[in-house]
Amino acid sequence: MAPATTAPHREDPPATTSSEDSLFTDRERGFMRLALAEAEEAYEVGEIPVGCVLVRRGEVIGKGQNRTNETRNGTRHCEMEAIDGVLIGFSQNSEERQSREAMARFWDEVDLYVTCEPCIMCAGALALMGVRTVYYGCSNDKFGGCGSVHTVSADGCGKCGGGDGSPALGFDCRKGLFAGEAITLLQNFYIKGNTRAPKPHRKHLWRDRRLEQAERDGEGGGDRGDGLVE
Amino acid sequence: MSCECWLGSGPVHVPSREKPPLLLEEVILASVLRENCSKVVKILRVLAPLTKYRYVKRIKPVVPQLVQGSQASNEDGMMMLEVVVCTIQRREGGGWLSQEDRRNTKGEGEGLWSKVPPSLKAELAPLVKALRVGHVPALAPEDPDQWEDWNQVWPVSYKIPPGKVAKKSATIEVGEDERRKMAAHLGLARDLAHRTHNKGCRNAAVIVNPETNEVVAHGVDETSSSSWGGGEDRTPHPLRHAAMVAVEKVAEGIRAWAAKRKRDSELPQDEPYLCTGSDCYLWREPCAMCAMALVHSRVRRIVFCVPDGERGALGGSFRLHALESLNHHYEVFRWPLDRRVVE
Repeated sequence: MAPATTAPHREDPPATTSSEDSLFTDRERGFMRLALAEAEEAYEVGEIPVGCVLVRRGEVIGKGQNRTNETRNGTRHCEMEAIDGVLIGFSQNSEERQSREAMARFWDEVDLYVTCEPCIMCAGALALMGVRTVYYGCSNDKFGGCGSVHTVSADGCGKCGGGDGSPALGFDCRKGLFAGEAITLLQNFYIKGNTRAPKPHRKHLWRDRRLEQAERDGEGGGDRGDGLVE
Repeated sequence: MSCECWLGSGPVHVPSREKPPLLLEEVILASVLRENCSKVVKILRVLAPLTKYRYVKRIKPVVPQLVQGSQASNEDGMMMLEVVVCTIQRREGGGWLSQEDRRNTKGEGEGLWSKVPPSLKAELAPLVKALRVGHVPALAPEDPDQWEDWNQVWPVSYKIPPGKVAKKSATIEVGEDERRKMAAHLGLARDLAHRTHNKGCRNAAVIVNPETNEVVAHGVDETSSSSWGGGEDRTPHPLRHAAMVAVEKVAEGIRAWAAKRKRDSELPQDEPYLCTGSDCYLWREPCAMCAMALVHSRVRRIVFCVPDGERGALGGSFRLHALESLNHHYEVFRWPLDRRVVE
């Protein structure tokens, strides 16, 4: 009954087939749809379109979308936003605020649904929080911390000398839920171009051509492929 | 400025990759008279090219008395040379040209000649005085130091890779002036890490613009603080590590600057992008989260004092800056503490 992987490996090909979606329950698909909606909102406001929801006991307790451009802070990924939101929400008298154990128990019932594989930073953060399972859509071949580039999800994360000093353990991962949708969003974003990021050295030629192509397609032109060949 | 006596002898560059250690490959060496040498090399070039070991020089002059017990040393006044014939392991590219040779060579009887590819044996035998087992470096040297060391084993060549100054494992030297600046910033990181926590020191991060040597922002570990993110009396945040706090402060600065520029068109149009070009000084080696946060922030260089052999992400448990797929790479330096301080 446990599909996809719990122990990610570098060799895993990026999961993009929509057939994998069928390995997930309706409930899981529902939560990932909410994460996709967050990603779409991010796209609308010119942020990198990645979104997530945090779920505990079948309820959404937090959601986030990437805000790196707005905040001018490259670490404000959607996972960080969602975690901050949950922590701010704890009332003064909640049991979780009173005891460390209660806090750990709380996060051990939390699952994350995120459209793209958490980067190494976010995977570290999720290990530090102690979440239970991370469901993600597409793999992240450049930054992924759940097996694509590094295995923080399995190794856990240090505490830089802070906290109680005990190491933070890893978490389970299940990937491939609505990977195609997540990739499409990201592709659309990068064709449009991240206006805030510094200009890449060589990629602009490629991007411009893709942009031309996209515009041509938008106008209903049928010359497919023409714009891609020089 | 704080006294530097707490610091050890100097910053140690943590290259993104460890230099490969000296590994040896067992080879068959032939003692050859100088006058026959060019013939032998010509034969070898055709029948036993060392394609896998291009950096290995084929010939080495021999000081006669070093070749003990072999016939070569008995040649009076004759200049002897040693030539690499092939690897003892039957490797492709190690002087073993044909598959047939690799399969058929028995490796038994007749001493070392039986370990030489048969096709070579007939051609070489008349020209070679003796065979012996020797060693060559199994890998190409990666920098001039290694080249010098490994030449003691067997002559090898070192080529600077095209388009690069040196390989990734090459170490970066820090000049005296830069060292002083580094020490001062590390001093600030140390003071911050100690001052803010009476229960032992935690971590602090100082972000510096290296062009002006100015401290742009600093942060301390706030994982047990209840005021964070502009709010008071909150649940302590387990992710408020020093580097995360410092990066956030830089972002606040940029946002303030951007707001100001909206009102004042005199200011330059180009907004600073995250922490691009800045250096980050940390008391402790960062964890995976912080190290990656500093990649996302486009930091130029990281310097830290206290390593974390178990969980550190910059040499302790792994080297984040060695992951080639990342879109940004920084330099890493560790400046060890003075031994007396550690004790």
